[in-house]
Amino acid sequence: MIIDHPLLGPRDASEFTYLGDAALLDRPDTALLDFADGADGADRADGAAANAIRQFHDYLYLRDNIAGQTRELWFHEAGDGSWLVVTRDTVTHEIAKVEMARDVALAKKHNDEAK
Amino acid sequence: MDNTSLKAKPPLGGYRKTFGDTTLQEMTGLAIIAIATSNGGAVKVPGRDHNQLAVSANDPLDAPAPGTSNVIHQDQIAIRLLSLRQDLILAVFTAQNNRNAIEALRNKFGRTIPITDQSDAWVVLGLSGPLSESALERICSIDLHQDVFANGDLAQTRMEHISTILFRSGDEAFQIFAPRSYARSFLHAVETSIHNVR
Repeated sequence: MIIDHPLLGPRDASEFTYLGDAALLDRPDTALLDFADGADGADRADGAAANAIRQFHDYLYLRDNIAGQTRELWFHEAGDGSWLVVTRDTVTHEIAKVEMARDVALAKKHNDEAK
Repeated sequence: MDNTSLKAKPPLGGYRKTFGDTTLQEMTGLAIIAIATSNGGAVKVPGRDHNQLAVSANDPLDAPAPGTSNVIHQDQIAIRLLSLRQDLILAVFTAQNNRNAIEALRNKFGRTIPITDQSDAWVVLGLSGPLSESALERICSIDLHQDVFANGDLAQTRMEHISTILFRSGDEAFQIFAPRSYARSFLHAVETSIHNVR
């Protein structure tokens, strides 16, 4: 399998290590979490999301196991040390898109701030 | 002790060997300086705020794009700038008049740019001649065809499990950088590969 690095061009997959689903980039805001309070869904005076713990649980443990297109995090360990978001079909191994994870994260931040 | 002076020892003792018309030799006397350009070769990237800066091909400082290199000249010193990634450049030059070379780098990238001397951290092998491309393509996964990997291009990759920087210095000439501690193993890997394609 060859991953077309956005900056460096096509590189063999053996240069990379795989981390997991790119959902890991969407970490819930930990500032909203209060792990001392186990009361999920209770009214909160401090502005924490009512389902904050559930959100974090889902972020940590729940993954879809898709036969089809997934977004994954790959690390260019033997190359420039960059993190990539690779959109890959798990059935055909066809790679549809490769982005710098940094760009994806910054775009998300930019969008969140624009909201 | 007054008369004692320290002399740098090249990791392979100045190794040189020919295989027909192909030559493999240790490149000695090189100064290798790492330059972190995260805020130096800065350009505004659309959609990003001022703090989000990156080096790119249209960098006003004319820093080379990742995977490519260029040469700057100052006071008869030629400095080869190898761009490894978005924010890291290796400057390679003949180790003499080093202060002038550092001054040239500071003039180019700014007074406060972080620079680190890595001269003795690397072993550099020069491989030239008709067998060089075929010998290297057996031990690295980079496409070495000249249409893709042109003169002046470079790649940070892995050969025989050793992290290396491969630089194409000519049509049939390469320079390969490996960590100094791997010097003998790395030399063995390249020598063996040359034997295998002879």
